[in-house]
Formats: sequence, C-alpha cells, structure tokens
Amino acid sequence: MAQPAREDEALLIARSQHGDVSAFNQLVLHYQQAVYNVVLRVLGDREIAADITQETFLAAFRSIQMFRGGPSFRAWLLRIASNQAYDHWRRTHRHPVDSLESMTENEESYSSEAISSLIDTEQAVNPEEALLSSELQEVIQQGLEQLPLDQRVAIVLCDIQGLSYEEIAITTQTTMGTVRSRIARGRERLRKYLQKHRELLPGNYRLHTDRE
Amino acid sequence: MTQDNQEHLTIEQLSAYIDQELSSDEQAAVAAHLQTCEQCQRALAGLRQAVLLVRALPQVEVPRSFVLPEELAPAPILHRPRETEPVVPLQTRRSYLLRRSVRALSTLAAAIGLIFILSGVLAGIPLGFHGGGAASSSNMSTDAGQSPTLGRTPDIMTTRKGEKTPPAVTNAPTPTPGPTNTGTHTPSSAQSPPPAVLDLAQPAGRLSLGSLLLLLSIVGLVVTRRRHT
Repeated sequence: MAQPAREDEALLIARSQHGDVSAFNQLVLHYQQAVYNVVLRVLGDREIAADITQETFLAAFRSIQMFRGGPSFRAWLLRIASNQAYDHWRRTHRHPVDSLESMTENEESYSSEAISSLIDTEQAVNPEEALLSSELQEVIQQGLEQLPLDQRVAIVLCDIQGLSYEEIAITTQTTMGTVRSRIARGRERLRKYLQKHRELLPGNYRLHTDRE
Repeated sequence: MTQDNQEHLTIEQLSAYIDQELSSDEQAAVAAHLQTCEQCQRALAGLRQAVLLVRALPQVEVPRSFVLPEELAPAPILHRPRETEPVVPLQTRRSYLLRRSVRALSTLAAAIGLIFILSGVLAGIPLGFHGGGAASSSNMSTDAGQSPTLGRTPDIMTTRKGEKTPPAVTNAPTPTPGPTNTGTHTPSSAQSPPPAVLDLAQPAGRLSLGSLLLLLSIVGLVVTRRRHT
C-alpha cells in the first residue's frame, strides 16, 4: 500500500485531533495492514491479532491529541500496537521463564493454532513469497515466537515492516544501540533455530552450516 | 590482509551491516574485513539467510476492516472540561455557600432545640407543667441568632408552624402556642410581659423553646433542600 503524501497525512491527523472519525478512518485504512501484521507476527494468533489491532486504533483515536506531529505517525501507531501486544503477552504468559525454557528445550513442539494461522497465507501475490511453503512459514513463525519479546518485536518491526533502527527506537522507546543489539541477538538465535529445520528450507534459502 | 583480520566481526556488526545501519566508516571497514575473512563471510551468510527467511514471510491480509464507527464520540479534547468547569460553579457558588451556612445553622438549631425539649420533658414529667417566674431575657439571644435564617422565608415558616407545633405540645401541653410564635418574630412585643412559655427555668418554657428551634431548623433544612433541586 502506498504511503500517503506527507501533507495529506498531516491534514488527516489534524482533522482526527478535532474528533473527525472519518478522517481518522482514512488513516486506519492506510495502516491497518501494517498494524495487523506486526501484532500477528509478534503474537502468532489471528483472532488475537485482530482484536488487538482494533484496540490499537481505538486507543490511537482516543489519544491522538498526544501525537505531536513527530517524524513518524507510523512509529507512533506501531508503538501503541506493540504496547498492546506486550500487555497481552504479559497477561497470557504469567510465567515467561518457564514457557521460554520449555520452548527452547523442545523446539519441535509448536501449537496447532500457530500452524493453522499460516495455512491460509499461501495465495501470496509475490512469487518470491509463494516459495515459502506454509510449513516453512510456520517454522519461521515458531522461530520468532521462541525469541524473547523485546527481540521479537524489534525483528518484526525491522524485517517485516521495514522500519529503520531510529524508527524502531521511537516505537519501542529505547535507544538505537539497544535496538541494534536486540536485532542482532534475535537474528543469531533465529539462525540457530532455523538451522535445526534446514531440511524444510528451499535450496536458495538453505542455511550455511558454518563450524561444521 | 588487513589488521582487521585479528579480530573477527561481531554478530552485532554483521547484523547492522545487513541493514546498512552502520556509519559509513564502519560499513566500509566491515566490507574490507569481509573481503579477506572467510569465517566472517560464512557468519554473514548464515545471518543473512535467516533475515531473508523472515523477510519472505508474506503480508497477511487483514481479516476485516478496522475502521471505527462514525458515531464514535469525538476524541476527548483536553481543555474542554476546564472550559466548562468554572462556568457552573461561578453561578452557583454563592447560593451554594449560603445554602451550606443555612443548613449548618439549622442543624445547630435542631440540636439545641432537641436538648431543650429533652430537658423540658425530663423535668416536666414529675413536676407537671405550671409555668411561672421571671423570664430570662438572655436566652432570647439564642433565638435571635436564628432570625437571619427565618428572615428569608417568613411565609413558609408561618404555615409550617401551625402544623408542626401541636405534636411537640402533646408531649407536654403548653396552653398558648400562639403568643410563642409572635414572640419570636417580633421580640419587642414579647419583651414587656415575658410569657411563661419562654421561661427557661420552667420545663414548659424549655419545651416550647425547644420545639420552636426544632421547627425553625426543619423549615431551614426543607427550604435549602428545595433550592438545591
């Protein structure tokens, strides 16, 4: 989806700040795909991702007075989305240490709902994307979900939404150094995880087996 | 071979290199090192493929539209409550304070009146109710303290007085409730012959004065409540 022109977006934001729902809804239509995909990749569940996307836009409309016309409305919006996703994760994962340990010990066991969440995504328009079997997509999603939440959010924002480190720093309210470190550690962990499933990888994605 | 070869590149450097998020100097240094270091080349390739896999995840179509309902209440504008807030109190503050003080005075009068009634009843039961003796004019000041309250609503007072006094009197029948009322309203007329009903030395006097105070307080409370709503 094309990025709206700067001044158009600024106008829509200004009108939204005066309570214009229809102006805000134009922003919703522009950004709903991005917000939904970030939340989906972070949490891995379509139903929950849809609920949180809706909550995000509702919260954004209510607090749009707070948006001071900073460099990136997208980053501001995604910050609300990732905060909502964080909150949900904390609510549903009361014992994050336990679940993380069990996940890393037994990485093969993925939940069935995560599998089904990727089954219908086959009809991708991009032929490059079509190369990924639903099974492989599911493996990658599982790889993301076994990452610590901070690293997962940073990687999703960087590699799925294409945000710069600076935008990610704004979105996650941290420093660029922290963003850089989270992305690097997350990628290294993901690489090791995917290496265990390399038999699923298509030829052009086969991971190098260094140190072997 | 450059001196960079001594230290291999960190994962963090490689990761930021992939995103081109290093400074131009750093970017060039990493590129130079990679030219000659096979180990770092392989590390980079492994990392890059993991990145490519994540990037190859398809964008999932939204299951529905997330537009907000048009009838949604307008976004709360922060200064709006502050605008409306001072308007209402400015108009009502004075009458509110007045009402509060009237209510406080009425409550006080009710308490004093009850004490009088109680003491009159307690003293009156064994002794009977024969009023007599000199009036103590000093006690009139207690009553006079209540007159501002009365002054605002004389019409209501007089109508209520007739209804309310009899039940108080039945406890200890006082023969003449009529003079009592006029006495409080126009103290000048009551001064010369101090009626027995206002003699606080007598139980009957305390009773009638107490019931009068109670009555006034009830009127005060009723009036302020009526204004409130």
